[in-house]
Amino acid sequence: MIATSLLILMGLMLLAVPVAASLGLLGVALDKAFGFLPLTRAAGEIAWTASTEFLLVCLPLFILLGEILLRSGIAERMYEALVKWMSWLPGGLMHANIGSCALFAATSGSSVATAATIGTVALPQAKRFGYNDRLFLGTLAAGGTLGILIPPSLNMIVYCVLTNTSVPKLYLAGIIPGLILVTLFMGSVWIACMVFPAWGGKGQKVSWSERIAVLPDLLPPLGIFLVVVGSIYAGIATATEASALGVVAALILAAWKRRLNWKMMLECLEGTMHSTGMVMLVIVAALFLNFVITSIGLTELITETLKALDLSAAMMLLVVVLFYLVLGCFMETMSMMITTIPIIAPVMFALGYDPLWFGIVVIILVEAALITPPVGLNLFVVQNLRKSGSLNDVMAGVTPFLVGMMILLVLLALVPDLALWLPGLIGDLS
Amino acid sequence: MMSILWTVSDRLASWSIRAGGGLILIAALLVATDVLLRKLLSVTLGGADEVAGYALAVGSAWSYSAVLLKRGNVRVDAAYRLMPRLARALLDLLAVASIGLLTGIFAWYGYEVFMTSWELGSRSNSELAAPLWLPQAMWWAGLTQCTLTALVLFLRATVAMIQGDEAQFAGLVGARSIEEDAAGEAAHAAEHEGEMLKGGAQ
Repeated sequence: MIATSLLILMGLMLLAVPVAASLGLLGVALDKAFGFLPLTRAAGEIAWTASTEFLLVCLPLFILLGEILLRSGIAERMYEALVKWMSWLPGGLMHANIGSCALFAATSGSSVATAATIGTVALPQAKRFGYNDRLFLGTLAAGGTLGILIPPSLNMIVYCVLTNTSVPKLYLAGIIPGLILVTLFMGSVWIACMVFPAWGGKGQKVSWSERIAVLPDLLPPLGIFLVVVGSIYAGIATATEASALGVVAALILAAWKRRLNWKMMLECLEGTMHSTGMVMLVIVAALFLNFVITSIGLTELITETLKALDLSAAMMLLVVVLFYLVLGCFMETMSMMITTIPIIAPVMFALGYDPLWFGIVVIILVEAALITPPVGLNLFVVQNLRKSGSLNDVMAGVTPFLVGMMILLVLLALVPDLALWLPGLIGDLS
Repeated sequence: MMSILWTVSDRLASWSIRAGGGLILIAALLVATDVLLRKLLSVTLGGADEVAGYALAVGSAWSYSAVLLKRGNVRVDAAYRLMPRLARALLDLLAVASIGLLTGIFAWYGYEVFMTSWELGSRSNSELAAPLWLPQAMWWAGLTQCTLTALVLFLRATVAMIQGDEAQFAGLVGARSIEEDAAGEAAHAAEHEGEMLKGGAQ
C-alpha cells in the first residue's frame, strides 16, 4: 500500500500534474483501491470544513498586509535609515541589507516578498559603492528568507494548521533562532570582508545627528510589528485577529502616506486572492488526502514501517533534514510543506521531538530550500531584480549563508531551548 | 462559439477573483472591528470569526478560475522540462484536465453539502445561526465555475494545438517556469518602487 501510494504520487508529480490535483486524485485513487467505505463522498464536507477554518483566514490577511505594505513606500525609508546606522561595519551596506530584511520580516509573512522588496531598494546601491556583486546578492536572497522565520510567518501558520500547534507559541519559538540567524548572516559578511577587504565596498561617513534624524523612519515597520505580534501576546487577539488588525494598521499607514486609492486596493486584492487561491486548493486537497490515508490505515502503516526501521531519534532527524534539503531543491516550498508535514511530523513527535522545536527546524529547512537551485525561488527573484549577469553569481553568493543555516540547525539540535525557552515562559495561549 | 465561451469564462474569472478579494477585505475589517469593540467597549459583534471563515471558503473558491487561467497552480517541472515538446504539450492538457477533475469532484460532493443544508434548513451552531446553504451555495458556485473554466480552457488549448499555434498554447496552459514566477515577483516590487520614487518627487 505504501509503495503503491508513493508510486502514484511520484508518477503524478513527475508528469507535472499540479500539486493540488496530484494530492486530491491520489486520495480518490487510494479510496477506490483500498477504502471499505466510499470515502470520496466525504470530499464535499471535508473541503467545506477545511476552507472555513478560522486559523486559515490568517493566510489571505497576512498576504494582503504584505501587498499593502509593499505599496505604502515604507521599505525605502527604512532601508536608508538602516544604511546610516550600519554602514560603518566591515561589509557596510550588506549589513543594512540583512538588517532591513530582518526588520521587514517582522511585518511580512513571506520570504519571497521580503527578498523582492528589500532587493528592489538595495540593488541600485551595489554598483554605486563598489561592492562584491556575489556577496551582495547573497545577502538579499538569503536575508529575504528570514521573512518566514521571524514572525509573522505564513509557513508557520500552515505548519500549525497541519499539526495542531499553537501559532502564538510557534511565533515566539522563531524569534531567538531568527536573531541568531541574523547574527550568523552578519558574521559571515563580516568575516568575508575582513579576509577580502575589497569586497566591502567604499565606506560612508555618517554623523550621529544624521543617524538620529532617520530614526522615525524605522517607526512604521516597528509599529506594524507591535500591532500584529504584540496584540497576540498582550492577550488581545488571536493570530487571525492580529492579522486583521495588521491589515487595518497597514491601510491607515498607506492612507497617511497618501498611497491609498481604488486602483492600488484592487491590485492588492487581486494579488492576495491569486496567492490565496493557489495555496488553499493545495491545502484543501491535502486535507482530503489526509482523511483518506488515515481512514484506510495508511498513516499508521507508514508510522509502523518507520518505527520498524528502528532508527534512533537522532538518526531519524538526520534523515528528515537530508530529505527536506533534497526535496527543497525540486519543489515549491509551500507545496512541499503541505505534502510532507502530515506524514513526517507525527513520526517525529512520536520519537519525542517537541512540535514547536520541529516546526522551527522545518522552517529553517524551507528557508534553505528557497535558496537552493534549481527551484530556489529567492535566487530567481533577486536575479530578476538585477536584470543582468548570471544566476550563478546569486547561487555562489548565498553559499556562506546556507552554511549559516546549517550552523543554526546544529545549534538547535544541541540546545533545543533556543526555540523552546521563549514559548515556555508563556502559559497557555491558544 | 468557442471565442464567446472563452470571453465569458475569462471575464467571469477576473470578476469573481475581485469579488473574492472584496469578501476577504470585508472579513478583515469585520474581525478587526470585533476585536477593538471587544477590548474597548466590551461588546462583541458576534460571529465575526464565523463570517470570516465563510469569506475564506467563498473567496478562495471564487479565485480558483483566475489562478487556473493565470497558470498559477504549482507544478513540479523537473522531469517536464527534459521532455520533448509534444509530450510537454500533452502534459499541459493533462494538468488542466486534472484541476478540472479535482474541483469537479469537490463541486459534485459539495452540491450534496449545500443541498442537505437547504433541505434541512441547517443553521450554524452559533449565536449567528446563519443559514448555511447561502455561503455553501456561493462556495459551490466557485468550484463549479472553475470546473467549467477548465473545460473551456482545455478545449481552447486543444484547438490551438491542432492549429499548431505554439505561442498561444504556451500562453494558455504551458507550465510557468520559475523564471516567470520570479519575474512576476520582481516586476511587482520594482513597479511599486517606481511609484514610490514618483511619489517621493511630488
